[in-house]
Amino acid sequence: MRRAALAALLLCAASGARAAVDRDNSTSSGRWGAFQLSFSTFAPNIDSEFTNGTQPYETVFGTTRPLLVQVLFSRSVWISQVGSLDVGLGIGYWKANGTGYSASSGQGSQGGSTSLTILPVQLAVGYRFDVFYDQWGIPFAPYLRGAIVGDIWWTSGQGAGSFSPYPANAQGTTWGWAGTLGLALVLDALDPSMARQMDYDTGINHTMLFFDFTRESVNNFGAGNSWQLAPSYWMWSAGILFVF
Amino acid sequence: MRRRLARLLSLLLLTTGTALGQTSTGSVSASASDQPSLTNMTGRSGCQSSTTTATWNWTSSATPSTGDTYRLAVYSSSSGCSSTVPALGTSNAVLNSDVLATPGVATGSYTPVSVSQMASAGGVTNCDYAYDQTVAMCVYIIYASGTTPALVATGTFNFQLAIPPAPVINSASPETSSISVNVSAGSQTDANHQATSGVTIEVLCYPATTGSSGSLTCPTPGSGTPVTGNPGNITCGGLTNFTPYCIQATGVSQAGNESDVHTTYPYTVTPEPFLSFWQVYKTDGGVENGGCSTGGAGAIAPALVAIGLLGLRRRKS
Repeated sequence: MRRAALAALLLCAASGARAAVDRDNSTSSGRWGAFQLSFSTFAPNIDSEFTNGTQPYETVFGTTRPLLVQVLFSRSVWISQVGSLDVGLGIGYWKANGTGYSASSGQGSQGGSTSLTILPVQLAVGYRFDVFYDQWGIPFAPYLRGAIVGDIWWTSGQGAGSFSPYPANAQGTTWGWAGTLGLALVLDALDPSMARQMDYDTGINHTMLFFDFTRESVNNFGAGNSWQLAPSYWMWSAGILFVF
Repeated sequence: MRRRLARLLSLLLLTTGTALGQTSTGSVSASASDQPSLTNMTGRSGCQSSTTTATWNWTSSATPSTGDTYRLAVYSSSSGCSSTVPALGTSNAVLNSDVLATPGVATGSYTPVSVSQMASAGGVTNCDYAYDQTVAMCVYIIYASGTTPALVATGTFNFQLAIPPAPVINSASPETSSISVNVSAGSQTDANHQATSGVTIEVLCYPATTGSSGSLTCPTPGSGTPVTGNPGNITCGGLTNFTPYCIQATGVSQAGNESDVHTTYPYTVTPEPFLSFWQVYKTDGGVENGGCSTGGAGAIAPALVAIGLLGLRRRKS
């Protein structure tokens, strides 16, 4: 498995070297932004605020990490030979489905569908080092990104009615920050002539596959009356990026 | 217990025929409107129809004169329309008396005609068929002048007899005052369960009864008003908490024919008040209260987002 990955990496590098010869940046269209679609698995660290041993999130939703889908549309505000500084707006969708437990007999009797939905909105500033491919023909583009995150969330479920003093559901917005480190594989290197044709037809300069890790904290910047909607771990994401 | 419900739909087919040297290009069709259920439609127990009468109309190839009349007859699809008009009172002539034609007008309609009589005349002698059954409808003109009667319109009438496969209850989960039932369409592939298009599911949740030994039993089939939906999750609502319920599911074809019943028996499901996630969180002592961001730090973020948006717009302009 490791050998296969290494072989794939070498193949990419080799094709990238060839691409360095084939590339002709003078014919590419003007660059002005990027769009990316990413996928990751995510579970908020809501249980972190409880020191009494209770774990409401895990009790209801278990330990699985549902899929988080996000899109980010960025505008390049500064482009140099080294890379691109992008400012973008993004939104995502995530939903966890679970079951509550009986209001009368406790956790021994589980039932009742309930869910938590989060739409993470972010204002992101990122820098992508395009120099590796544009100048040296190496088909990789490392990047880093910082973001202000607003998680719009709501819960759903029938609830226990008068058996509970609390309303069945709530909604709100919780703010925080996120930092991302990632690496993108420039697919143009696999077939530079097709990439040029695609640029000519659609205006897409580069197509990249990326993989990154994000660390974030979403608890209204430490406010005492907020839960934590960020995961407890470095969250990985993978997806596709179009530079145009 | 398997029930058959045959609902009748009309089909219009334009066909041609020849009778006594006269070419017939007219058509006849019948449409059955919903009527109170007619049991033992053709004298066979268990065969039911939700309609009793059908309206029929025709376009004739002949232009009638004063005093001419029409006669409707039905034959099996295999034999088709007879070239000679059947006498009134015989089994194929489904009208008690002929219809007086309007001189010069070659179209018209007439109601009612007995659906069970049409079935009998067409040879649909019972409902134990795997597939829909079609009968031939034939309209003859009886000339007042004494000229030999002619076949002037033909068509078909379809008896939808096929039933859908019995659905399968995959799971039934208790909710607060309700039960969520996951049902999939059945997969019976025998020749008698051929109605698979447009099948809906009826789920019925009804209270279990306590037997003499104290154990719960489910009378099958249950009684009550079912909830109708498509295969997937169907919720029985308005139930009483802490009461055990039995669950059954039935497939219903587009024609209204019901499948065999699938039931969860001997298992019962008991709805009771279940806490939602938010109630679990608050019960455990969670500090979040919902709403927009709170505190000065939380207010900074939306301000930054607004500034970012303005920046993007200015640059774009």
